[in-house]
Amino acid sequence: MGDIVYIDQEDGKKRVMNNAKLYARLLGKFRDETKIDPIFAALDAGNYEEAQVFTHTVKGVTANLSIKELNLRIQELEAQIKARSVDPQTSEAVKSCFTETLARIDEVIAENV
Amino acid sequence: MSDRNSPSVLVVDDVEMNRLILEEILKDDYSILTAENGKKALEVLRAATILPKIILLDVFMPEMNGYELLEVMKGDNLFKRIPVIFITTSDSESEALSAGAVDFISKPFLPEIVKLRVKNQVELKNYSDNLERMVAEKTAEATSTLDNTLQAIANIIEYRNLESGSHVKRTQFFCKALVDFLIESNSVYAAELRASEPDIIIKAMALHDVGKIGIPDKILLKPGRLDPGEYEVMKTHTIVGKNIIEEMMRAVIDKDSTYLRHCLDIAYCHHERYDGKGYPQSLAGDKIPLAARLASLADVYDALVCARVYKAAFSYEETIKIITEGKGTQFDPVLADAVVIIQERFKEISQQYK
Repeated sequence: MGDIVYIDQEDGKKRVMNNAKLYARLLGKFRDETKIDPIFAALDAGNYEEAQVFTHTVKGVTANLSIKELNLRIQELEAQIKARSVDPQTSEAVKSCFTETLARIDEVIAENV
Repeated sequence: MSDRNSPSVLVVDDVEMNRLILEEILKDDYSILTAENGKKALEVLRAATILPKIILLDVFMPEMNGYELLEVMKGDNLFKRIPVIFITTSDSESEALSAGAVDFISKPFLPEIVKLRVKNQVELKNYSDNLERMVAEKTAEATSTLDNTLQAIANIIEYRNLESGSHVKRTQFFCKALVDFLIESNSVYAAELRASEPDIIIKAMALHDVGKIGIPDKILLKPGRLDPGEYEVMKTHTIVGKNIIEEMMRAVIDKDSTYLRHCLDIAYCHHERYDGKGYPQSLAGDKIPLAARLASLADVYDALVCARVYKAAFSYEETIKIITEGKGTQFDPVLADAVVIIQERFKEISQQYK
């Protein structure tokens, strides 16, 4: 588990022209605004189209903020949604990764303000 | 930060975090406008005094998505010319390009790539804007050059054809009076005249005798009536005129020039008669271009009321009588009637430009 990179902050800061404060602000927004529950609610309702739109948004934002592990998990989930066959283990992995990511975000924010 | 003169970029994405990142990447070189979906983007475009040079457009958005916005923009004459770069994920690049985007950037954004792609497209847009402006300027320049050239040629003919005095100017005014009347009175020719740029018919009228440049002095300037052989030569001025204008048409860039088309019709056909007994093609009725039928009346009226070396001037009353008699034979009946109705105006012109 030591190899897991939840947040690659060097990479993330480069994306905003090394503006550390802005990066911290964006991570704060991610923490406050990003929800993954709607993905699973849509899946439970059998609405794959809607679930795909939600994963698409999370995939884009995690990629842009270099929230790496969650991005990988979401990509995996998105592929399964597209294939209309979601493995419950993948869903669980996304959920626990999301919780872990939020905790890590607070640490990174603290380092950058 | 960019100054107020920097080109503007519109960033359309429903996720604020994505907009903020793009803004941070681009703000040094551009002024940034933002919108959170297609509908808001349209509002921004409609309110803009200067349109953005380029739009960075996300695909999936609530309210109106990227594809839908692109479709709306394609239906708008101004908006359709703004290049769009789609913000995509790697799996929809070809879709983005086939929908009409000029390029795409994918998430995660790579700042240097974003900057370069935007810069390239803005440069391309500036380049095409400049080209369009230059084409418009050059076209205007070419039109005015053609105009000046044709008027200069008309002057040359007038100087050489000594006896006609201000004949060219008068025929143009007769023609204008006729055209104005035919349009204002809602005659059967009103629609056709409106559609064929009547001002240009009047300008083109100046070239009706351009072919006389090809007629030898001893015939053109003969101080007396022409014998049948000389008359045959004189008649060729219609064909010479046609050839001269056709050569011009080959030389100019605007092959569809309405101006030259009218010049050709008038120079070639102004001696045709409505009953088909004119020259050089013996065209009859509507087969004679309307501009040439107008020219014929203006030309003959002036020839009648002016004294020539071989004849005295007819009075205005006699001239109108001759035109009335020629109605339906020499002249288009509608046009002959029109001259009779506005004969006072013709008389004024004839006296004013002696």
